[in-house]
Amino acid sequence: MASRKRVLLKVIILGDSGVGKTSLMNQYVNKKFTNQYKATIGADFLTKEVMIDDKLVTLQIWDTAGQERFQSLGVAFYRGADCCVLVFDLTNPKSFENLDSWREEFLVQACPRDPDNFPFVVLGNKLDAEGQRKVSHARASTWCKTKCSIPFFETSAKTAENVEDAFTEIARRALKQEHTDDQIYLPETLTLNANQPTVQQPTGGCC
Amino acid sequence: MMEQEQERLLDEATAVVKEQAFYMKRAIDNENIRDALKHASNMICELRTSLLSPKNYYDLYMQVFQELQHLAGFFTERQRHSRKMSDLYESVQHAGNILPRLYLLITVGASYIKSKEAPAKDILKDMTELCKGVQHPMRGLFLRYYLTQMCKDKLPDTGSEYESEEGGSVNDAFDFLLTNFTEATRLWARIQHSGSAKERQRRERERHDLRVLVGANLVRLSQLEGMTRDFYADVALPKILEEMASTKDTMAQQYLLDCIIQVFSDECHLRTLDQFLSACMRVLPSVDLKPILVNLMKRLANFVSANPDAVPEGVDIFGLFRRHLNELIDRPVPAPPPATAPGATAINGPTDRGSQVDPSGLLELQVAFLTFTLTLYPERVDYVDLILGSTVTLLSRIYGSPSGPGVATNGKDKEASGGGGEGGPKRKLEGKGVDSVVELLATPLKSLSLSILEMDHYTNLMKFLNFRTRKQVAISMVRTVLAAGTPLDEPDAVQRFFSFITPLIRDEEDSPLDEEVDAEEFASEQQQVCRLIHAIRHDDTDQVFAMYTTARNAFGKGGPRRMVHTLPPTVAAALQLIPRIQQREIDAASGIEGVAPPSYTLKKVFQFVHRTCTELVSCAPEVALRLFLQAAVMANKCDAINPGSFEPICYEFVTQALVCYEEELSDSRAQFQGILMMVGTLSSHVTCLEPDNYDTLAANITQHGAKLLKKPDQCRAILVCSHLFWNNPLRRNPQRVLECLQKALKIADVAIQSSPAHVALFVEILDKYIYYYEQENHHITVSYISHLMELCNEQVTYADEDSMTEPRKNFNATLNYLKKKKAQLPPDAKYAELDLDKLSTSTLNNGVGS
Repeated sequence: MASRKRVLLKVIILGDSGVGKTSLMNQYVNKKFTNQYKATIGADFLTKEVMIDDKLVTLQIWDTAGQERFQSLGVAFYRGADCCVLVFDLTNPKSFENLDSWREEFLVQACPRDPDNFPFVVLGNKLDAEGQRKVSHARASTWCKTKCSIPFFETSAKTAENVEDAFTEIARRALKQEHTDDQIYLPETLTLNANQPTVQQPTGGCC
Repeated sequence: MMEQEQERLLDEATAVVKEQAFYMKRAIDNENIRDALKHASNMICELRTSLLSPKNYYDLYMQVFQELQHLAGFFTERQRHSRKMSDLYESVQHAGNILPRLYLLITVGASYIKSKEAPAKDILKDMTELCKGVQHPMRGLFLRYYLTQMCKDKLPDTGSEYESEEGGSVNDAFDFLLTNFTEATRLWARIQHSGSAKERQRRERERHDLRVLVGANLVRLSQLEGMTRDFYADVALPKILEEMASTKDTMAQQYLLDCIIQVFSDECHLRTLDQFLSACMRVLPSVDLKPILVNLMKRLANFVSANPDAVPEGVDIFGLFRRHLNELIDRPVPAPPPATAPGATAINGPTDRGSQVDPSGLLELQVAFLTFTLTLYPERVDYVDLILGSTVTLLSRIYGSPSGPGVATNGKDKEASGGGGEGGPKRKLEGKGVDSVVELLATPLKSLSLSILEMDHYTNLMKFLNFRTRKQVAISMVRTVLAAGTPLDEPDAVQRFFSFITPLIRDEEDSPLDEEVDAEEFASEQQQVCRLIHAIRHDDTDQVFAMYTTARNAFGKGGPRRMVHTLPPTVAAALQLIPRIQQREIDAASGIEGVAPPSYTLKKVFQFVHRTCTELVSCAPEVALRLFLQAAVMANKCDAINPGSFEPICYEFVTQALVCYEEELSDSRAQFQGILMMVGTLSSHVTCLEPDNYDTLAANITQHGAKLLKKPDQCRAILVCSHLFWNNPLRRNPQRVLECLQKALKIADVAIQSSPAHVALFVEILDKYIYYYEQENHHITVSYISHLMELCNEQVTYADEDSMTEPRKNFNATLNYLKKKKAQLPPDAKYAELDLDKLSTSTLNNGVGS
C-alpha cells in the first residue's frame, strides 16, 4: 500500500516579543545561540529531520514575529499546524500572562478541527537567568494543568537545557496530531483516464 | 460586499489548489515526475490572480507553499526520481506560463543547490535574474519571497556547507539577498504608481500590508553568519541605506529605517551610529523620525546598560545623538506640509499645523533623549543641561526668548528664579508639548541630586509655562523628589528647590483666585509640600536648621491658607531636632573631639518654634495651642537634662497656649478640648515649673474650665482639672482635689435642673471620687462615696423613667466593681464600711426594665 514516504510536521512557535522564540528554534535546529537581540519580521521557518519512535519526520518549525506591526499580512501560516508552542520568559510575568491570548489567537486563526484537543506545549524560557525569575514553576504548571494538561518545560536557549527534550515532546505530539488530523481529501472530480494508474483510495499517513 | 467577493475568490482558488495538490502528491507517491510537475504547475497557476487582497493572496500563497514542500522533498530524494538535477532544472523551464515556471524553477533550484551538483552562487544568480520576468508588484514580491524562503539555508554563507571556491562566499550570499531586497523594494514602491488615482488610498493600505515581504529580506541579511560588524558597517549598511534613500518614498523610508533598527544587532548599531543617524537626517521631511529614534535609543539604552564595554572606542553616543537632534531642531519652520501619507505625522523639524506651530513631536523626542541619557550617563549633570538648553532653543524660536525684560535669569536669584509668571516669552506653551516639558523638568530629579537646579536652563524652560503648568511641574518635581528619596541636604539647593516650586508655595501674579481653587486638590498639594520637610536630612544640626529656616521663610509667604498645612510639620520637625542639638551642646561642652558647639543653639530653635507657632495663632488656633504644648513638653525634657535652664521657656510655651486659648478659641467644643489638652500636658508631662508658675497656670486653667459655656462641659472640665492638683507629686494638693470634685457636683446639680439627660454626670463624678479614694486622697472618705451612690441611685431611677438606659448601665458597672472589691478575698479593707445592700434592692427593682 502506498503511503507518503515523508511525514512533514508543522510546528508554530508563538509568544511575546523578546521571550526567545528565534533563539529556541536556532538552538534546537542549529545548536547555536547568540545574545544579540534581532526582531523577527513576518514568519520564518527552519526544518529539521528527526527520528520519533523509529519514524523519520521532517519538522517544519515556524518562528513568528512577537511584535504585531511585523505581522502585517496576517497569520495564514498558522493553518495546518500540527502543534503550537507557546513561549514565555520566566523573568517576565507579563509574557506569561499573555499566553492565554496567544493560545486564543491561535485557535481562532488556525481553526483546528478539534480545538479542545489540539496539542500545545508551553516553554518557560531563560532558565539560565534563574536569579531574575519572576514566574514560579508552580504558577506556570498550574496554568498548564487548567488548559487540558498542556506539557510544560522550563528551557534555556542559551545553555540548551531541556531544549532537546521539549522539542522531542513537541514532535511526538505533532506526530500524534498528524495521525488524527490528517485530512482525507477527495477531489470533486475524478478524471478517469487510461493513462492514469488505478485510482486508489487516498489514505491517512498510517494504517 | 467586497469582502464576500474576496472570500469566494479565495475559496475557489483553495479548492483548485487542494485538488491539484492531491494529484500532485499522488503522482509523487507513484514517482511520476511528469504528472507531479503538471499538477504542481496547475496549482501554482492559482497564484496568477490579480484579484485577491494581499492578506488573501498570502493565505493562498501559504497553501501553495506548504504543498510545494512535498515536491521539494521529492526532488531531494534523488533515488526516487533518478534524474540529474541539471536535467530537472532545465526541464521545468519548459512550463508554459511564467509564474508556475519560476516557482517550479525555484523549487528545483533549491534542491539543485542542496545536491551540490553545481555551484550555489551560479544557481542563485540565475534564479534571481530569471525572477525579473515577473514585474507585477504583488506576484513579483511573493515570488521573490518564495525564492529567499527556499534558499535561505542554502547560501554560500561563512561556514556553510555551500561555501567554497566554486560555490561562492558570503559576498555571493550577500549579493543574492541584497539584489532580492532591492528588487522587492522597487516592486513594492511601484505599487503606489499603478492604477487610478482614486484608488490610491486602497493601494497605500495594501502596500502597507505587503511591507513584511520587503522587511523579510533584511531579516535574512541579518541572519548571515558572515554579517560581521565590519561587513555590516562597510558593505551592508551603506548599500541598504542607499537603496532606502533612492526610493524617495515616505512609507518605504519610514519602514526600512524601523526594520534596520529592529533586525540588526545592537553591536552593529553602535558601530554605525553616525552613519545611521546621518541617513535619518537625509530622509524625506514627511518621514516621522520620532518612533525610529525612540526605538533606537531604547534598544541602545538596554544593551549598553547590560554591556557597558560594548561601546566602541571613540564613539560618543551622547554627542552623536545630540548633534543630529539639534540638526532637527535647527531646521526652519516649514510651510504647511502637503497631505502626508496615512499614518505618518511628520516631526521632522517643528511642524506647522494651521497657523499654530507645534513642537510637541520634537519635545517628545527630547524627553526620550533625556531618559536615554540618564540611563547611560547617570552622573552627567552637564548632559542634562545641554538637552534642556536645546529645548529652550527650540521653544525660543516659536515663543520668543525666555530672557524677556525685567526677568532675572540667574538661577540663584531667590525670588525670580522659579517665578515664570513675570516677563519671559510673550506666549506660553500650550497643548501636547506641555507634558513633555513637565517631564523634562521632573525626570532628572529621579536620579540626580538637587544640584541640577543650579543650571540656568532649568529656570529658562519654566518661563515657557503658564501658571497651571508651572504648578504641574512643581508637583511633579515634589513627587519625584519624595518618591526617589532624594535627600534635601544642602541649604542652597533647598533654597533653589523651593523657588522652583513657587507655584505651590505662594500666590503669583497669574495664580487663580481663591474661589477657583478646588479645596481638596489644594490640600493634597500642600500635603505633598509638607512631606518635603521630612526629606531634609543632614548630619550637621546647623545645616538641618538652616534648611528648616529656608523652608519656614518660604512657607511664611504662602498666606494663611497654605500656612495651616505647612507650618505644623515645620514645628514638629524643629522639635524633633532639639534632642540632637542638646546632645551636641553637651558633647561639645565636655570636649569630645570633632564636636563643635552648634551655631544654632537650643534657645534659637525654641525661638523659631515660638515664632512659627505664634504665626499660626490667628489662622489655626487649635493647632497653635497643641504645638505650644508640644514645645512645652520638649522644653521640659531639655530641663530634665539641664535642670533649671529651660523652665522659663517651658513656662512661656504653656502660657502662650493659655493666651491662645483665651484670645482665639471661641467655639465651645474647641475650648473644652483645649482645656483637656492643657490639663493633660501640665499634669502629666510638665515637671520642671517653679511652684508659683505651676500654681498660677493650674489655677488659671481651672478657672477657664469653670467658665465654659455649657454646664456639662464645666462639670467635666473641673473633674479633669482635679488632676492638676494631684498627678504632679511636687504640687499635690488633696484639698484642692476635693474642692474640684465638690464644685463639679454643684454644677451637676444645676445642670440636672435644666435636663434630666445630664444624670450621666453624677455617675462620672462618683467614678472620680472612687478613683481618688483608691489613690488614697485622705480628704475623700467612704461616706462621700456612700452619699453619692444614694444620690446616683435616685437620679438613675429618674433616668429609667425617661427610658434612658446609658446612666443605668454605667451606674451598674460601677456598682459591680465595688461589689467585686468587697467580695474579693481578702476583702478590700477600704470598702469595709460601704453598705451596698441598701441600694441593691432598688437597683434590682429598677434594673429589670433595662
